[in-house]
Amino acid sequence: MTSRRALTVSPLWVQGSILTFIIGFSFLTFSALRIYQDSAPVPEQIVDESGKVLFTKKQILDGQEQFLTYGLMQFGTVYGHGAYLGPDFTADYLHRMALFMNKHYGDNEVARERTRRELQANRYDPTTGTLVWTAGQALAFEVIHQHLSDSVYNRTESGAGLKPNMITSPEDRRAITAFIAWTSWTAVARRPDQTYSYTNNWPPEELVGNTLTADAIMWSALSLVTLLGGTGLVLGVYGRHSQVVGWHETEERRVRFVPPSSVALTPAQRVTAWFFLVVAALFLIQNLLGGATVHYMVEAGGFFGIDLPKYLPYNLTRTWHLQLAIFFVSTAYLAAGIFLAPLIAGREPRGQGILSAILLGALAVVVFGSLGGEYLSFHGMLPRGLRSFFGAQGWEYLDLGRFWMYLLIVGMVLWVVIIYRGLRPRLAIESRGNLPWLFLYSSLSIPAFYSIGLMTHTQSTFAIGDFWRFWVVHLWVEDFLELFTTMLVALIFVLMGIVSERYATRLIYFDVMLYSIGGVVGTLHHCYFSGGPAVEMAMGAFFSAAEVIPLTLLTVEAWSFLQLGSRQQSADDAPFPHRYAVLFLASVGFWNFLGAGVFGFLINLPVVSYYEIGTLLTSNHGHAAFMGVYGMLALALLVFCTRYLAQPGDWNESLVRFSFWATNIGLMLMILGHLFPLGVLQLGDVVTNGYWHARTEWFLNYPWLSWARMPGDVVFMAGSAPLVWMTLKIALRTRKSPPPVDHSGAALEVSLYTEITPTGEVARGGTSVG
Amino acid sequence: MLPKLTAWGITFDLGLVLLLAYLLILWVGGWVLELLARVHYHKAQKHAHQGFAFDLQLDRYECPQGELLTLQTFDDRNKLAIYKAPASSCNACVLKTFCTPHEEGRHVYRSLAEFQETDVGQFHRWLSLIILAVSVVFSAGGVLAWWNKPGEWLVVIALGVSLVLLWLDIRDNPAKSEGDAELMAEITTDKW
Repeated sequence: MTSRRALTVSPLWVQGSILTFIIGFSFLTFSALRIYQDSAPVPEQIVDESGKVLFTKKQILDGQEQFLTYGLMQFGTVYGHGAYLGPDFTADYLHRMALFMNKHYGDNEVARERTRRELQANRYDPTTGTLVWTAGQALAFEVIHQHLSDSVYNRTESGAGLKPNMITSPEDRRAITAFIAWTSWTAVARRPDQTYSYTNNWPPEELVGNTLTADAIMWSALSLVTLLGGTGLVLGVYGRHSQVVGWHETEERRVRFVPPSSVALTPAQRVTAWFFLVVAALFLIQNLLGGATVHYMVEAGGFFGIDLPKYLPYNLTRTWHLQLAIFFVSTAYLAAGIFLAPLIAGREPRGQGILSAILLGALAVVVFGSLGGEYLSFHGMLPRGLRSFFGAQGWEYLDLGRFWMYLLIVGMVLWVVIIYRGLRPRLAIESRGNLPWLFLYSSLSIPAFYSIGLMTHTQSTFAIGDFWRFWVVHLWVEDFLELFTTMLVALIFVLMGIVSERYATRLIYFDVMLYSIGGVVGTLHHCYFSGGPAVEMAMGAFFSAAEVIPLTLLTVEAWSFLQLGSRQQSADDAPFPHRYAVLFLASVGFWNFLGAGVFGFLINLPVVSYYEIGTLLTSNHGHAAFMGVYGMLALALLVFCTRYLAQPGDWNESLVRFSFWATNIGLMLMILGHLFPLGVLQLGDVVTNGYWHARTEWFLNYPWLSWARMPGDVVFMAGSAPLVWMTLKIALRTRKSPPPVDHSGAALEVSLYTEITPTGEVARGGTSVG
Repeated sequence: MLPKLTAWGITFDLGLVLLLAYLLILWVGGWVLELLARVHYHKAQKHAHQGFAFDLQLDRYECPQGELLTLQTFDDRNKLAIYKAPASSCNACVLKTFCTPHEEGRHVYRSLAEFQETDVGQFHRWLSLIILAVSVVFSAGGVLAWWNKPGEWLVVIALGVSLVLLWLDIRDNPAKSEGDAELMAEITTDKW
């Protein structure tokens, strides 16, 4: 029996990680149980005071499904969640209802008081499941339904980013209004025996008496104490022990890199050339769609005179923009995993190349199938029963139809199988807590936590569906992808000889602990206002502040991480082959600092989130963090791996340099020229004129600021185009290099560098990891 | 639209106040970005030498165990001075496992390159320049928007400040950054 290599770090790291992981998920499991018990009820029927049925539970849930599958969550928002061109339907309905009722009751102070009282009163009877609405509420429903039909569902011409005659069925239209009306009821009706609504008084709306709750202020204050105390404690401990964890090494090492054209490639590694072509192509298309999406802010009825909404309405371009962002990053991660596995294991089993090619085919089917399904769904070209399965589920970020989601999970499981097969020889001789095993665990977490998105259905009660959606949006994207990012960066740095395996392993355990403490339960900060129980807000407020602590540390770490790039150098006359891969990784550190750290911190506190949710400041954080961290990492992986895949004559350092500077400068211009200043102005409008107002087309007041997005977008897009050209050449003419074998034909291990000292070269037998 | 503010008898647009605040963020942001990057660069450089005292006069390091690391060689291409302790001393040292994985004695690599000469320095420098360039564009936009309106002189001054800061940053090229290492060594000393 083969003996395993000892754990490279103290067992305390493993135990601490497991413990914090269990504690974090215990809190989250508790909140999952509570949300099923205490979320806002969906009445069996809503009747007027004479007992006439206005609409039923079936209509509300049907309406939610139609709302989602016609892509309205990618046009506007409900409870602040969704897209930013259209209104927040919850807040807009509430405001219009209050205005209508005031006018209906006499348009004076007495009428205003009556409106407030009627709306806040909870006339839901849980024993019969009946909710009674007053005459004012019932009449308002009809008026607002007509308004929504004319301006959104059934426009006579393209406008507001939407195509004409989008939803032709009167039943579907009425059901959607029923769903929106129900959300606004949950936003104002007070919970039984409480002074606040099911949404903790969100949205802020003076007409109905919605203001920050006492609980929200109390928990915000307590969370601030946690924030300050926790940050001080963690930074203090970190400052004392920063030599143990972090992106640095005790003794700088100088290495001589094996020329990329001399590194042997395995069959699976060669297949990844096509993966990276797909990455570059999806990235370019994603950018172009982003440009079309944001153009609707300055020309809602078309694209420089072309009737674009008729074919590619805003909700479709935005859906594709988000989906392709996830797809291009995921494809790069999958490809990098396949590329790195033989470098870690030192060999590749038979059949990996074929499996990788099958995975690539499956990915193509999922990507283009799901995008096509979304097109058919939003254009009403699929029968109602098939829309959410083959078309679009329509939850923001989980837009793809359920069928495509199943296929994607199968594809990711196949990827884990490929990784496992590739690593198996190495896993057999390593302690289960060492780097190769951590790589496998983090790979496994990706399909595992994405699968949780299956708990979200188009007819789930919104608070419950949204809760599980955020297991994917927050927990998967912000925690497990972040962990996988750390894993990949650590592996690449170990493979390049920049940090030792021991340091890299410690850092990964440290990350697991940080995210388990704040990040896991911090998921709930997305759920303050979606109709979940108040305890969600308490835990969410408390832990989302705690989430800032790892973010703060992340910013400190990001700066240290950045400096690794500056220390990397070639030791002899051979040029350093990964200059731009390292620079892209350095930019990951910078954007982690600015996008995730600073901009995340800016909107994370509950008192800020109450006003900020659904504004461009969220988009600002999203762009800087997602593109800045995951996007730049995807490009770093592309540049790192294709450097080995390219024929020497096909590698064009100038194109890569251009891409690096254009994507970074373009992103910075997008943020500083448009998203951040316009987001601040929008936040100011929420506070000054109310949430509903800030979510109208208020930005039309600032046309020059909206156009200011263009230079950044153009520079950024220009940066993505050369990568398509370069990866196309590399995919068509991938370097041929047989796996290295010794004189007896047995496989030899591959190393990317040798370590040198001034007195001579130190041979590094075997691979770099280990 | 945004409401008006009155201060010292003058009525300003809230928009103007927000613009000036944003410009301030950009000016400070551009400066802080480069400063933080430089500080961390020098801290990272020092991390590798932690516990080792450098004697500038004698051009050598002294390790925590009192062993001297003398100048071994220069790497001109990478602007490195390389110091080394005797292998026999290191191999017999009780702290060896915490210090160096080699059998050839501990090395210390002292970088003679200025921050702005490094790739990561260039990266931050360009980002900083972009931030200041954005401040010029925004302040120029402010001049156009508030021309012949109350507060006009404020945006004109802001434009001037933006241009001066951008010019200073462009002028601050590697050839003129002598003393950077000494300045940063002071900033990043352990007393901070």
